[in-house]
Amino acid sequence: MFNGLNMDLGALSLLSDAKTRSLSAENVDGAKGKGGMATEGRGLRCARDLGGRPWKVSPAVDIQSGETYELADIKGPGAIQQIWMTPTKSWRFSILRVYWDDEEIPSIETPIGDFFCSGWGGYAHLNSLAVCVNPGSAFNCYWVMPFRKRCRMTLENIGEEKMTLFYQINYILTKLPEDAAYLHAQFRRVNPLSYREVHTILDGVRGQGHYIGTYMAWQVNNTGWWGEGEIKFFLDGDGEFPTICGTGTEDYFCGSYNFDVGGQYREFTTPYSGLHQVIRPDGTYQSQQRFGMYRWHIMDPIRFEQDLRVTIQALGWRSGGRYLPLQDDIASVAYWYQKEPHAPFPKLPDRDSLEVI
Amino acid sequence: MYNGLNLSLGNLCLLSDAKSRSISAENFTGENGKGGMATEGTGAKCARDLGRGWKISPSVVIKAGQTFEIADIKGPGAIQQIWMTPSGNWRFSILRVYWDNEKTPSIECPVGDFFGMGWCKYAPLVSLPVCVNPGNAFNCYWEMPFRKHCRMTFENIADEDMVLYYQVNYTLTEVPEEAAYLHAQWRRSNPLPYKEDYTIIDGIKGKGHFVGTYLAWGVNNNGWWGEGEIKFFMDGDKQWPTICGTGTEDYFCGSYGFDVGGQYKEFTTPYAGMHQVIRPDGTYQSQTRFGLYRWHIMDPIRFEKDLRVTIQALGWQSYGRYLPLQDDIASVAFWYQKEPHAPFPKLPERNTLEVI
Repeated sequence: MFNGLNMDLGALSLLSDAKTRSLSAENVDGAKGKGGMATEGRGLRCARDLGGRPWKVSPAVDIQSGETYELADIKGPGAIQQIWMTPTKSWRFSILRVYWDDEEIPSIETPIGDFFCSGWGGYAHLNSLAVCVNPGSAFNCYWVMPFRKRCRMTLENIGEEKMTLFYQINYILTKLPEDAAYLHAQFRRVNPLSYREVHTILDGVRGQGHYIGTYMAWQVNNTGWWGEGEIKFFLDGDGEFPTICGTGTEDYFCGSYNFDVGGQYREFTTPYSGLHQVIRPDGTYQSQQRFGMYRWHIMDPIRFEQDLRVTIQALGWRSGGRYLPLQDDIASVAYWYQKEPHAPFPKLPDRDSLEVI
Repeated sequence: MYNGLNLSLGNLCLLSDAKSRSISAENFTGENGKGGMATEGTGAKCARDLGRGWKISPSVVIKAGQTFEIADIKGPGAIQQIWMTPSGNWRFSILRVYWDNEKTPSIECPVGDFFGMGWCKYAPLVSLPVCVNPGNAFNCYWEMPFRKHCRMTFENIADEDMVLYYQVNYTLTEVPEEAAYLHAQWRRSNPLPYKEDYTIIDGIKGKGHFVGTYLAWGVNNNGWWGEGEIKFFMDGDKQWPTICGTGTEDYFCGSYGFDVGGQYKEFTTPYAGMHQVIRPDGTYQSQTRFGLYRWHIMDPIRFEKDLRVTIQALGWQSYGRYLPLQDDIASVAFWYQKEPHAPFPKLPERNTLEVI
């Protein structure tokens, strides 16, 4: 019988023996028949005249400054199918980590905002197959995340203020096929990019897998167009030259000619890619021109056998029709699936290096 | 060879021996080579100088009180897409679908609500299984497999005749053992009794999976109305559910009152949305109303034996206390299951259906 994985609209009629479960502050371990039983929680005071439970006694958690909250600790085999959450405070100062099958170093490590393509800390609507960001701070993802033995997910609050988190993690318990791989996501930032260097989106991947997405938070530090740079995928022993080479930044994000319509940047958000965010300077304190872009390789994942490195140039224009290597503020999240073990990630930058300034 | 079911963009290159057929007023039976043959129909007068082949029968008139049979298909096969545009009052047209010669329908729902338009007013809806296009174009892409037979009817319970244009696209093919049948059930509570939960679905028996909720919600108090939690009681759960939500907007994949800058903000994504916000005009259109959907496409809620789904209606009253609301709430629950299904509650009479 159908194992309940690899869902899409076309598979929706199929029965499966998979078990559906869900984690939230109303059922923190997902146990069957144990939802909404809390007698203490953030909502207790609000429900005091209703007699407490089952009237929304524990809909959310507070995560103290410096605390790491364990969102999930699930015994497999199974797969996460959807995550919804809405975190308060700085989205760069909440760090999401996911550990598969008791591994010691996380396979996903990224600020929460960037994981949901909202690295600049402000809302922009995003309407894609894999990620949706809904008004005004509703983070949703639909990446299928299979695991065999265990899934452990944490959120660390590295801010100086207490934050509040509403969340719901929908998953199934089912058998996994041999070829199901593990989701990985890695955050990087350079600010500014050094002159004539490329921004590295991902490097050091070891193992078999496929690259499935890029999010970029890009701030320009020069006037004029900033997206001439080419993306490059170095796979399976490629040396100086990559196997896959793009033709320009907006080209990689499935746009065209500077994302320009009538002399203005034009936002778009499609199932597969988008320039979903354009932050325009206000002439006073909000002085920076910034962009949010995503490119999901859903129909066209980039498969590798042994290793992968992904880079992008930052190129604008200077006089005489010459390329100008830019020194911009660039952050990115790389998303890929691979077999475990994965190579260790670079150390996550410290808080000051994460901050949107 | 590939059976032609479970379509997605990723398997579009596959060949199949499945047969494609389509029912409309230009081909009532879907028979091959029999489209556009009508000599009488709603377009006959317009084509009087052109004759047969020139859009003689593009639609049907359904008289007040009449039940029109849209489809009567011998299986095995599956409906793959439905487009229709009904005139008249969308709460007064009842869609029913019967699988494999069953006596009680598996789908019974006012047509507007089935397509997320329970308030009988257009709002754009752009999702994977349902699209509502300007200004009353109802489309659904739910796959609906059947083994022996599919019968689909449309009852006009209004006092006026209505016009229906429609197209039902389907495939004739082998259906695998694990393919289940689509079900949709409508309910309404107006108003919800004080301190009671609203029941979206109850009494499901059998194995299946819950795949979606549409809610038409009219608020009867000032302030925010969406604190209530959704609960999925499955497979013997009693007082406590297995799955418990954290708030109404949370279930619909929104956040903090769907509020951007102090205003409700509509959105419509492949999987969820608040696609409709009806704002009072200060005179006769005096009610604030919402249309919301949540499709469980990537994350269906699977059950083995039984399922009940409820949602609380909660706002705020003084001193930070929850206020149980007495709102006008209607819903459609969508799920797949093996037949036979448990009989549905009796569809309410017309006055209870009406948007007032």
